[in-house]
Amino acid sequence: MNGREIPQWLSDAQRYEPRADRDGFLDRTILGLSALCARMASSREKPADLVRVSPEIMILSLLLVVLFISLSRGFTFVSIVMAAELAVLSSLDAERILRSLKTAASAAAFAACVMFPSLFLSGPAPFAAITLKTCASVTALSILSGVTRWDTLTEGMRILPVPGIFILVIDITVRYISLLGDLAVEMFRALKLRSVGRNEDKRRSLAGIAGGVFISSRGMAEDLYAAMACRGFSGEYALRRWRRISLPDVFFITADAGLIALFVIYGGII
Amino acid sequence: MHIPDNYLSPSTCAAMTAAMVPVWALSAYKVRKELSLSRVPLLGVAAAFTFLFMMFNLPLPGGTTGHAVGGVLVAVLLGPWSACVAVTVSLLLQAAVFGDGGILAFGVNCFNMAFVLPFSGYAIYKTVRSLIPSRAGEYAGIAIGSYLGLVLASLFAAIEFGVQPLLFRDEGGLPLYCPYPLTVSIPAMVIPHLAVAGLAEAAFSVSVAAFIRKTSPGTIRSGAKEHPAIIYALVSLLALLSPLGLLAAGTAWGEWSAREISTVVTGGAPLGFVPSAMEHGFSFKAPVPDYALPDVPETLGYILSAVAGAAVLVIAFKLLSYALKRRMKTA
Repeated sequence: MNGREIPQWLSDAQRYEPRADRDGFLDRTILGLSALCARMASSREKPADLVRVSPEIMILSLLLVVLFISLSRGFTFVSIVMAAELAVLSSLDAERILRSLKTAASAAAFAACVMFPSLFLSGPAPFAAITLKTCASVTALSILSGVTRWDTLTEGMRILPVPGIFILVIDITVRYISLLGDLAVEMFRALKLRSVGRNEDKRRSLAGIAGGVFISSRGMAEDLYAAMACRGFSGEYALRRWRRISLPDVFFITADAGLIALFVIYGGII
Repeated sequence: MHIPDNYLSPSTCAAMTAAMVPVWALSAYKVRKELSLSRVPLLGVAAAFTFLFMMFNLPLPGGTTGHAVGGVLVAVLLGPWSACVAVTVSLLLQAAVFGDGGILAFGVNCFNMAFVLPFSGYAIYKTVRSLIPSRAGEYAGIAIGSYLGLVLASLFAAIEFGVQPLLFRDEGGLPLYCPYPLTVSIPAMVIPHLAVAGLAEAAFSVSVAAFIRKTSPGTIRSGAKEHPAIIYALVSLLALLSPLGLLAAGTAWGEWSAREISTVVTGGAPLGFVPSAMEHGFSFKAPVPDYALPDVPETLGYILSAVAGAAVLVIAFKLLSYALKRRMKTA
């Protein structure tokens, strides 16, 4: 063809074996982010909340539990809360149980690390108390986030006297974490694919990814805010009218009353 | 019937555990084969049932206490292999966390309560059912099966206790482990179980079986209507009622601590010595001994132990079923 021949160097078999790259951290980051995105996406698609309780009542109950746990003295009240949490967990499906237990275990492990020196300063009681309290509080939180959708929770906050700006920020954050996560995953994947052999410069590219995500997020946020402003959003969330109290609500409120009674009796304060 | 450590010689424990190993292996195999993965969590509920049943201590004639097990009930509902797994797991939780039943004696306790009890009870249930094929025959089968199953299990425990002084004595002729011969242990264990605990087991089993059959038949037969909420409500109710088990104040026969045993009166005279193995033997410190949490009032601690124990069993089997499902998906 055209009298030209394939040059010798092109037809030679090449034996280029790139050195193995140390990109374990990249894989882990990609996997972690993808899992988070998938979870956020599935949480948006979840057809209904597991518990048909008004979100504001659930949020108030959670605050009550966390407050009482931190105020209580001794182990009695924390033991009660932990037993109740185990009972609630046992009624959930395995995936949610696993997620809650993982979250609680990592929080407890972190608390144990932080409290470790106190073992030598003031004995095992404060060490055990703080670790258990952390574990109980985080479990309560992860149960709540496991059984309700993110937007239900922000809806609950709208009814509570939470300043509008916080709800706006949380709302947008929750909605955009998965979008930005997808973006970051794509960039990570591109970085991985384009690194042949050992790429010593990879860590510096991370800054680029962070910057890229930040710039896109700003763009997206501005677009979103502009779109909301065009539709008449003034920064204030309109207070929705109270809906009728349902049977699960009554059950929850009764449980809260029981919690208060248990705290008064076993909290160790009075 | 939870034999503590140091009542039986380590060789007895080893022999009985060795006898249990093939039973456990076969049970695990049969459960995997017969029970669909989505029904594995039911095993956890069954284990929770037996765990709670065993917390209801009843005062027995002779000043001791005893309890139902519920193993035959589970055998009737889910099959004897599942019952073996469920009772084994709840015995493991009791021994490892609550100090109820010894660690060395775990295999022996499993032999009595997870093997003899469900399998003999199930065989009797099947026989009665084939003789009387009506609905009444079924309940009669459950009642007779659970009654005789529990009595048989207590007989086995009594024999294990009773052979110890025949086999193991120190240089001075004093028994090293359980000091009571067969002539004492068999009547002391079997008569109270014949008179009270067996009846309680039969009553518990029949009423729970009837309740489940009426409210949530799908729990037993696949395809029928299923109401897991009702089963959970029943488990919660049992947990909340568990402090009734504290009303029986005595110690169960053969479960005394080393401090108690020398004052136990048998045949008009106290024992007067502590068998040497109980003083110097293996000792395991359970995290929550006797279902009592530190600084927590007794009744509340008992309820919390019941709730947490039952919940842990349900959670464990849910996670197991999840793990098995995932393994099947990837395989």
